[in-house]
Amino acid sequence: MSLEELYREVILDHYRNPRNRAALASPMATAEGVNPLCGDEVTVEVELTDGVVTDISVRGQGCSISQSSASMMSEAIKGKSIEQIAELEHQFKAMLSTEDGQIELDPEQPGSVLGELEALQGVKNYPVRIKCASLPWATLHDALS
Amino acid sequence: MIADVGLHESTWAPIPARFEAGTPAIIESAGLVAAIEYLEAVGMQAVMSHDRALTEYALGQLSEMDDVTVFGPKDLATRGGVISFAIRDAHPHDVATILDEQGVAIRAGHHCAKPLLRGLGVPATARASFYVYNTRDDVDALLTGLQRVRQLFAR
Repeated sequence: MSLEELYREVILDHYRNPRNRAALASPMATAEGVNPLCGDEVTVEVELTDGVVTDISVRGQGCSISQSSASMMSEAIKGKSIEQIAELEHQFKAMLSTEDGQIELDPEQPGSVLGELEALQGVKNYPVRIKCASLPWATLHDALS
Repeated sequence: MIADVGLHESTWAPIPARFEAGTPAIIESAGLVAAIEYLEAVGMQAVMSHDRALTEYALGQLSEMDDVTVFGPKDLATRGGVISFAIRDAHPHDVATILDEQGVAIRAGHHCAKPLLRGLGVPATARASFYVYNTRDDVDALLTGLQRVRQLFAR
């Protein structure tokens, strides 16, 4: 696992051009997350209609892993139901090895299981950075509870 | 620490015994003595000049890099061998991971000094610091390591 694999183009793209940053006019749910040891910050706002996320905003400041993860998450959950999001969160954590559960990624077909989120699979080899990648998901979890 | 202990209430010894709970830090005290003897053998003047020489070298090199900001005073008389810095386009965490892969250990984050960092207007900094066992080669390793950061984060 090389640094090039950790910092692959997808991650750098999301870091430099983060998606869904515009604040929502009247979000139904919102939460702020912080990694106290390092200062990464993420604020998540969601709009829900009949249990489906119809709009999302993620803002914050921090390292490339936390901010790109927030951006990728925002794209992954748009249009999904709360149940689907819970399943996706579980799969993402399994990919980072922070939760039990198997997730089989197909190296022949990158992105076929978790889409762009698979770009963060390298983070599990850098344990100190796992909290960076999971911060947005923990914050989203708080917003939706 | 205690005068008397009950199931629901306790009473306390007078100060200072009141704040001494249980067995004192015996092992830590032994360690502290060993550390003091070690440094006295090196000589604190020698410790200071070594620290200053490395800091002067590092600050000199870092100030030549126009994508690096060094925080804190440049005057060696008013600073020690702890250098907080930032490099353009790369967050300190990312700098730390990349340097780590090259065998260079720095700290990154707010260093338990959030109000200071807020005052400096930055969310986090990278921080290199030196001890008696560090050498100029270690500083060079840091500087070389920053090249790798530029490689990965170059726009």
